[in-house]
Amino acid sequence: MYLIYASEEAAIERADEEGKDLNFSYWTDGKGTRWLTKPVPTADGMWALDVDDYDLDESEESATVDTYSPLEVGED
Amino acid sequence: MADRVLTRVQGGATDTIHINTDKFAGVRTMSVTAGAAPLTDDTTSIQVTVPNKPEFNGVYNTTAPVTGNSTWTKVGGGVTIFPCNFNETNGYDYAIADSETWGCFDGANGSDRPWKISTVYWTITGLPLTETVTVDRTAQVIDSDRKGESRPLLSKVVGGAAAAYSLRDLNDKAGNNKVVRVRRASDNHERDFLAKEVSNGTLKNWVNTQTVLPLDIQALTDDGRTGSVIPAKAAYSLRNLSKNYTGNVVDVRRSSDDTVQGFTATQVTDGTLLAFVTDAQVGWNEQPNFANAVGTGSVTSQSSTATTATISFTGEASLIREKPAHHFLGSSGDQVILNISVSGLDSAGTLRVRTTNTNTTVGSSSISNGDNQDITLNLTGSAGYFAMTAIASSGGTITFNSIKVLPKTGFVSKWYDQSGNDHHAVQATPANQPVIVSAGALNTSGGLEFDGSNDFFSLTSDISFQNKAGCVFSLQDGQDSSNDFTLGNSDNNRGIGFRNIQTRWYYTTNAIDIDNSSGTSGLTLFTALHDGTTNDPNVTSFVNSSLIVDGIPDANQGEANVSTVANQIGARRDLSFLEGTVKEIIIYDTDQTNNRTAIEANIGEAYSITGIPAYDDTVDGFVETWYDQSGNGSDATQLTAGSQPKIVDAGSLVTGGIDFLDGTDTFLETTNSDICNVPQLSLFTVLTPHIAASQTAAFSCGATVSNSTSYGGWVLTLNGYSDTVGLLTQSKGNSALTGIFTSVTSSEALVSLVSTFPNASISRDGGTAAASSSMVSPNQTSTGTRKFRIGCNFTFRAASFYSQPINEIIVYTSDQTANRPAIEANINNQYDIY
Repeated sequence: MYLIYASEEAAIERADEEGKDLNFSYWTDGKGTRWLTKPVPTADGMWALDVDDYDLDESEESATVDTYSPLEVGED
Repeated sequence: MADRVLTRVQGGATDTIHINTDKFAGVRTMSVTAGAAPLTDDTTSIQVTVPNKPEFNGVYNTTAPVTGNSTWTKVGGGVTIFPCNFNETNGYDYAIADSETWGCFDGANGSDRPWKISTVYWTITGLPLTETVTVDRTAQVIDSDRKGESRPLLSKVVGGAAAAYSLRDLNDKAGNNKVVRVRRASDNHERDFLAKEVSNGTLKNWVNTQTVLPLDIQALTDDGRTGSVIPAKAAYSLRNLSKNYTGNVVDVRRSSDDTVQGFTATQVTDGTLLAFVTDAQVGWNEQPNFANAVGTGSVTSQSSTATTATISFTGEASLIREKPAHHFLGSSGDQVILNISVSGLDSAGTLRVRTTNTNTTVGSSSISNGDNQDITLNLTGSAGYFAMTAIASSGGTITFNSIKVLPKTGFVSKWYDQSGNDHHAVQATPANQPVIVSAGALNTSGGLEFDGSNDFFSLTSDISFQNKAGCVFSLQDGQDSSNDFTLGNSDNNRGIGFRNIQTRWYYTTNAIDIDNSSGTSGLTLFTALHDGTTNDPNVTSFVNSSLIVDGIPDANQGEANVSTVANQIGARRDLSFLEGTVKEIIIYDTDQTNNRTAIEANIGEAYSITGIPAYDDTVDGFVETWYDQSGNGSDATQLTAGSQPKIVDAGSLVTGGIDFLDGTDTFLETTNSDICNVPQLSLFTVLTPHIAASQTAAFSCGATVSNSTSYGGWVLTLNGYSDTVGLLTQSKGNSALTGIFTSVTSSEALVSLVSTFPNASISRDGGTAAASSSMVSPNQTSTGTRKFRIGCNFTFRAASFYSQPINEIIVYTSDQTANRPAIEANINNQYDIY
């Protein structure tokens, strides 16, 4: 289950929010684990965030998708 | 490993040789200087130093055959030494000159060479001698270390690794270096661990720490503790015993004015409670109205405000007081601080504080004439009113400029039941209330202090164990008598008591005593458990989670709980009273055999009680950082929880090191991009091979992709189709991919790779190496791509995830062919692989 974001920054912001809720060390001690999951680029230029274990609100629940097309392995 | 410095004395010359032990491997030769060549008549090269003409310094040559008439030319040209005069007695004089002659120096004793003249303007020596030294730095194979306790590989065998990851300490035999940072899944808390803490169980115990509060512990199911929350009958503590509990934990009466206020657990610890108790009471509780009670004197005038009072008197006023008044409030231990001015006294008198309506003095001080005198009275009982005794004056005045009471004691009038069942513990009688603040500070014990004389609580509703099981956890001081009950009854002798050497369960027909031959002292977690059956034995007891084994089991074991209820804490009837500290009591009217250790583990964790074992939970621990032990700071980290490899699985340390799990998204990444483009490379790793039908990367720098010119780097790859491990190399811009492989099985393996590209060899478990002489020297131009990563390959993102545990990775950017046997021996002795 994924949430799709137009930018990496927006996806990171949501990942940060979840990381804070989970009391990850990055947010409590200033170092260590920061995110539960990290966004990955999609084939269509968006960013997909795996939110299977996220605590989603209603609007987010309705916005989730089951799959996305990952960015194919390309030139480095 | 530190450099080694050798000082050598040879032929009167001393020189120093620095040996960089990090970089030496095998047999090496090197050139060193060893003094200067002797000067002879055949010498054709000399070292000339001219202190006042440093541009003339240098090596000068001439051609053979050498004579006194030879000219010497500075290497590089422009300066010469040549004979400038000759006579039979002194021989040749020699001059040194560039475009013009700087000096012609006198010869002496038939001198025929420049170094034989008498001049002090130059120094001439032979050229420095160069000597070839052969150093054998091949590490020795050591087979004397105890199995599993190899000496530190980097500090004692072969240093100079470019990167090194392990759960053992590769530098310190004592294991005092941190090797890993772990996140535990139960609460996402993180901690660094030393190597010795991995091996001695500290890490495992920490991960298994019972972070779930006692009232939140869920019943065991097949999936772990996922059942219903286990309800307690009553629960008392100064901390919250459930994450959902937010109410007050205690009501506290302060000694100064008997005001009672409730406090939450947070307010107990954040200073709110203490501030309430010790809040200074300024001014009068009742403004005084003194009169003379004894003697011939009389009060001639008096006045007062809320904070001051003045009284004037005359005659033999031997006792001026106001006995029924509460001039101020205070209790034993409180301080009364006064400032008074006195005049007209014939002699010193006494200022007393007495308990209201009594003649009992609870504080006193001599008073004499003088302005603004500070007086501090330490109360020894309940206050009170002021009385001035033995004062005589023909016209004296006492002015109370200020009065302040500093309270020092707080008493608990209510200990809240956090279970939700409203079995609150209350004590309305001040004298019978246990103390929580004494001498102006929270009790040093951190708990409630019972005086052993009359302190106890009554429960606001009864607790019954009749025909049920029961379990009581109490963190308290052990008692001198088993009758000094923790849980008791106001009308009969039944109850539960924890004596230092005995636990008593007496809600049965007869008391069941469990004797503890070893005894306890100080604060102890006691557990008494009746399993609700009539089996013998049905009552057990634990001290700090250890079962008490009674050498002679009580004959009453097997009795059921009868109808008597528990309705008080800290007393048996009004006869015997608990003495000392109580910090926490949790009561169940159900059998907690299956949950006991979980509850005890949390209490042990909360109060740092040593000896209470970690609860054998199902907690996982994940690696956030695998520290680089090479000294290069290339720590391998993973900030994303979902991509972290595992080190503790379901409460147990992972076998085989750090587990990279299912091969879908787990890896660690460094910032090190310096070990990708290397002409030499040596790898030593202990891992469990991936043999499933796919290809994975155990670790990598950059990536290798065949038929593409876009990738470059090196990868230690595990090919599950062919059950091989190999090193793949590629140079970006070149589609050629080269590899060298050896076979693996599913068993943990030591893989060794040594290379000076294009030559490389790889072996498993110290066996015969497969060799290649055509390996591409790896190269990747992108510093981001070519970072060293563990558990994956990397193209434009992490890929080819590893799926098995890795115990150790040592990377040298040098060819360790010569040291390979020693390194392999050290590793194998540690892990016992082959």
